[in-house]
Amino acid sequence: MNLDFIEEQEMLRTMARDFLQTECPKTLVRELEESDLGYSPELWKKMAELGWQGLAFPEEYGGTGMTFFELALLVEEMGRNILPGPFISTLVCGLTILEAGSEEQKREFLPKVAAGEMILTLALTEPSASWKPEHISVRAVASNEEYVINGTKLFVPDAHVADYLLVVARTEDSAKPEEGITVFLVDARSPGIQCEPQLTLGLDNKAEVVFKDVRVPKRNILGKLNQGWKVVQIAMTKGTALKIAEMSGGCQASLEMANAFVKERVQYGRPIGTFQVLQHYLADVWGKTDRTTHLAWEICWKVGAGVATPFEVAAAKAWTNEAYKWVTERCVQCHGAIGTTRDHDMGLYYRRAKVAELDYGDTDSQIEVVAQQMGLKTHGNDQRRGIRKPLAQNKERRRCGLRF
Amino acid sequence: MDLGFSEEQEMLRTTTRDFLTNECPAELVKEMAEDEKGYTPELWRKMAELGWMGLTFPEEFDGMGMTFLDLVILLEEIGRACLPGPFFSTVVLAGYAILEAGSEEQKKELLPKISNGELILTLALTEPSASYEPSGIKVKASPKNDDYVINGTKLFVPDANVADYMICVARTKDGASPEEGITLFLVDAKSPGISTTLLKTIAGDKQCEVIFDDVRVPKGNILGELDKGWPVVEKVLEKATVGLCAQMVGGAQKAMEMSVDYAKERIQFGRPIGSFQSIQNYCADMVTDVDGSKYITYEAAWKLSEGMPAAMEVSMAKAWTSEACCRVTALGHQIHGAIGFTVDHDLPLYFKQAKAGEATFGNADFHREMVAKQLGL
Repeated sequence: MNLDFIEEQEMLRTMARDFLQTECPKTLVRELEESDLGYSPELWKKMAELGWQGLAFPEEYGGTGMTFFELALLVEEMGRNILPGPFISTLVCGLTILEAGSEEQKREFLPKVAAGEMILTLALTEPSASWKPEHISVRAVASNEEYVINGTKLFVPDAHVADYLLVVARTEDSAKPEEGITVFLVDARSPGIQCEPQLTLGLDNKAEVVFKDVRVPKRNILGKLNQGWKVVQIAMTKGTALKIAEMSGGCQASLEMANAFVKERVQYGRPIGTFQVLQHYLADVWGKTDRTTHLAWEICWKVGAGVATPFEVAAAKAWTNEAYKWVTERCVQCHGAIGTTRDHDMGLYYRRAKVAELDYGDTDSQIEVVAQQMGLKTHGNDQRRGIRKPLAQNKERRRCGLRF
Repeated sequence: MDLGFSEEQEMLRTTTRDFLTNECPAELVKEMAEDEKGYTPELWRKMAELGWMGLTFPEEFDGMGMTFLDLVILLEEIGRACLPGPFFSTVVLAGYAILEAGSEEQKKELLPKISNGELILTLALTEPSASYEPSGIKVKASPKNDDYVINGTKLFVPDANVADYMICVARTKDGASPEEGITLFLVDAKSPGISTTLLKTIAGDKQCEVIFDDVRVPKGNILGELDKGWPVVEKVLEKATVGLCAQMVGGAQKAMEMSVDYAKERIQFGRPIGSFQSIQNYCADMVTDVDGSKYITYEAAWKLSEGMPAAMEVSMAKAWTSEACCRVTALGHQIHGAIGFTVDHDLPLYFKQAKAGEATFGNADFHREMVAKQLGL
């Protein structure tokens, strides 16, 4: 056991923290939240020059050959600073191509990702908002040398700026839901693709993507035909781990902000940090934050080493979901009224905590995985987690700016 | 970064678990809870033969020269088996006090005997105020010729009923700050003037009231430096707190496993109760709490093992683990329903162990205060 970072990792963290502080102040975060693109192409290019997008790719694909764990440390800093943009989306897909793609696909996609010239995203969830194979209803049907994709994907992150989408589609009906699913690399500019941004609470960039007779060449299948769920699992595992790292960074920033605030804010003639109740809040926030930080390192280290079980990944996400929400809520509480204003930075984290819960699986769905992995069989859960609301109603709610 | 355990550590865990499964069944635990001594000399000898008592002592003192992290693994397994007896008092409390502050001569005299299972020791620290802070030390030791004379009452002294020696934390001077003027004395438990009364505790662990009435201790029995004993106590408490967390974690892990197994086999309304969503949520919460407690404990243990400052980590581990393990065992009871409340069932052992552990070496609120202090509040 050795819980220390090596020198290169420390350097990476310091460099990332300094860079983001300078290049991505909260004024820019707010600006980007309101912008159409949702990220800064200029900053994206600078990140590529620092080698961030290619950090975990081998050198032969334009990368720097560092590990997944180091990428996670970088993402942790992004979460701490808040960096709006398609970094996790792109890297999750890039790493999935690295693991499941053909040599040709790797040569085509990875150097471009590393150079900051390509944005990718995973188009997985549908109006059911489910992460399960049985709810993949977007269809791809073979026609000559191509497949034709039809259906709707919902909550696709960063789809509006993506160059390619990793589309998870059903190619065959099978008794086992995880069979008969295929992942396609789809050019986002293909005719028949319509992308409509969904406004979320976190002002992150989610979109509805409608596929109408979208034609994709057969060679754009990622992994094997009908065995795409394995590819999805690769992406989900890495995405969940990176998301956890990002969320843990957010917990750390919130804690530091609240800790500094209670020392300087004076009420009843003394700093509010001298009151026992505030001290206990902060101690609990520290405990949960520290736990989340170490859990993030643990799970990212394990995912990088290829030894993480689905059980561990799900339990870690379930924990982090609740911890991030709780930590940010307590930190807003420590700030009092000022923390609820739009001008204050605390709210940026508070809003993100709720949205981050849903990414790669909310707490309930993760707990279900944990329970199943413990050998507790489910009864009737599938109905519960099936299509939650009729589509019409769903659309209605989306129009009102609500996610579900 | 490497979160894995070494092969030797995994082996230590497996052999410990196997040994305790055979040698320390729940029946023994229940029997010892009622027993005056609270341990069997036979099992004690076997543990010594396995090298447990001297696990972290240097080889020159008949120890095995292993690290604190290794001891934490052992303690986790001990908690899993609810092993009764004076192991913790002897090895963690007294053992580390001697390692930390003892003179070469004291170490040579005591450590090999501890390693060989010939000596039982304990630390007499807390008093009726039940405080783990230096201001709570009121028992007095005054010099008289070549001796010191100790007077006062120690409360909640673990295993004093069977100890050969007690390390008594006493006030020798009223200093400017409460940390000053505290001295550690190595006291023969059979000295005239010591009266020990066994307290009744919920977990059946042996805690005692020890009254010192003009107890004479030779000056040579001072452990460490005169008036400068508190930093030693602090160091011992750090290790003890983390060691206790490990025991609690081991117990919570076992309670969780028992409850999950039970949820799979207990049929109600025509199906295993584990198929009900709320039971699943209980189980998932339990496993998350256990896992969380484990790593927060390992983190603190690793830092202590490496000799790094770890006050923050230690307090966080205890604040977190105290409450988490109580939650886990309480949920375990919820899952087990009525059967879990019978004395015949093993689950109450773990509930009681968690509850006792919560209060020992500072409860969650106490450690929250410590964390707040470290945060500069």
